[in-house]
Amino acid sequence: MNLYSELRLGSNLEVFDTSSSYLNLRRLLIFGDLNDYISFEIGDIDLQMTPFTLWNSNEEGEVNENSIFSNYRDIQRYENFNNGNNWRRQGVTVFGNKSVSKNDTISYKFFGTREFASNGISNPDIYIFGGDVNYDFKNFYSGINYIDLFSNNKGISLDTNFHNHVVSSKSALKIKNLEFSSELGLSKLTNSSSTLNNKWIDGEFVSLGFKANFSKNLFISLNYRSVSDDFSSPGAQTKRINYSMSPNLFPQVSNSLNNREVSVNEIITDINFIRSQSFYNRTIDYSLDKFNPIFGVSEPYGLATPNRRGFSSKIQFNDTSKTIYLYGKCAVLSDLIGEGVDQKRKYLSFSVASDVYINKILNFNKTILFKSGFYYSNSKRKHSPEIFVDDVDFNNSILDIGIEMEAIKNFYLIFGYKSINASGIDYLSVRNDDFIISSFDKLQLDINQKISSFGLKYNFNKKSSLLFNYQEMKFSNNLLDSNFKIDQFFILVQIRF
Amino acid sequence: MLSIIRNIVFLFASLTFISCEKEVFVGPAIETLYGTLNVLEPFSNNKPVGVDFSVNDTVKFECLFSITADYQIDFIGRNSGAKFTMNGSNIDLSDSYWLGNSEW
Repeated sequence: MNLYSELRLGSNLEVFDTSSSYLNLRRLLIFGDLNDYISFEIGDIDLQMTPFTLWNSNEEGEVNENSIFSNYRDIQRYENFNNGNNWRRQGVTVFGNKSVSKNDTISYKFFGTREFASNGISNPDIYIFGGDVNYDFKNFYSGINYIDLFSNNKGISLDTNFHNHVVSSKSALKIKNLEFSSELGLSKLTNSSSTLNNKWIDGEFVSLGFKANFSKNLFISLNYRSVSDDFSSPGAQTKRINYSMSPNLFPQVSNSLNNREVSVNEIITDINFIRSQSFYNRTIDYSLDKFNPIFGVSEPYGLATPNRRGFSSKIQFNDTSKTIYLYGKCAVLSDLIGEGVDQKRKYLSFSVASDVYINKILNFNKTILFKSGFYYSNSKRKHSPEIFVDDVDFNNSILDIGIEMEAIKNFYLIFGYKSINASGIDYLSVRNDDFIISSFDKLQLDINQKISSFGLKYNFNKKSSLLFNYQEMKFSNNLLDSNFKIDQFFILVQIRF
Repeated sequence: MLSIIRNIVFLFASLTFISCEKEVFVGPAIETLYGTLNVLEPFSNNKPVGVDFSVNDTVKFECLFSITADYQIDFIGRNSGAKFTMNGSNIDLSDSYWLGNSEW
């Protein structure tokens, strides 16, 4: 049996004495092996299954951003326990694997966590239970995933318990450099509405994938998916950012006339990230979270976005000398069923990104890295002229450009630029507690956000650095004729052990 | 092996086309929330030359809106000053008719 803990020693610089120093326990984990086939973890555990069942999707607003932004983003992810696409929960997990014959392995994992504690009066305890069982045989893989978010009404004045079951079956087959995969599943959500006869609200999805590694440097994938409008999977659809909260820095602008929403500036460099009142979401709950449409409306909940059908593709290239890296992604989707009208929205999104080591092309010794990325998405729906409703036509784009130059040994000049544009009209669905679309919010935007950031960085060694950084964010809302600018100066000292 | 792959592909292709589909749109009709209100046919009645309520005659009204709209028709007696109000919510006035009654 082993014990793992992360402790944080800190001091609040608002008071220049030791009275505000603190010692925090960031993570506590007890783990060990019961025998050769059964292991366990108790405490702060990291959980992940598939993008349709349990998956912590990345926050939006970046396409291959350079280190002046990604440096802060990595800190935010660490501070908010976003380790890859894992959800950090408090609970217990039991896992292990066993070989049946020489060539195959059965692996399993079961877990249980508590999401909310009951207040003893009206709010029930809410738990998650889930697990997966997988079978690996040479080049073939098959598995079953299951997760249930449920309440326990014992001791409180709530008549019924709620469940949100999601079960999926996943399989993959590798033939040389090709891989075919599939995942299909369904969700069952307790129906609390008396207007519907069914006890459950059922949703389904199908996902088919194809990957090809043509060489060590070239990777291509193609995916088809169909997700029904009532597919409810809180573990995969919960947003990493709580967009219903206000930014901590200047929540109101234009002489306190306009409220500001959490945007990419805050996601990267929120000044409150060390405190507990962060807008980074740490809970999984029933309802579909709010999202910020300036980052696009095509796939706000990742692959598990309800009511989407279509194809997506990725291509990735690395040259052997590691001078150039290229990445491209494209998705052509549509609504599976019309929302509010018979016509279905059509979505097109693509992103391209590149890393170019200019110094390798010019035969310089010192690093000159140019990073760029561009994302574009739109949604369109033409309405019948008889209904006198504006057509859906919503566009958004994200541009990331950055350059990193090593001026003298270990001393870097870094410049980053980010631009986010969103304009047009769309109608965002509003869902009730039963996951049923009860209304629509008309979205009409013409917004532009630009961040320019300049920094001087000195690397003492591979694990420690000092960064001076000046950043300017300009925001304009052309419909409200509202503009503002936020200038920030940062000093970031990083020492990794 | 090829036959296995063929069967898998066929199974998933079948699932793809039979699953998840519904026939009617979900959510409330969008024109009831965000349609632009236009009067497509102007307000009129079927008794333009007069009506005799003493023989149980009625007045029917006509008007066509572009979307379902709340409407109110006010009647004011030219000589008596008597008032009557009729309210409704529809895309037209097909369910509105007046029997000659008043509130006072």
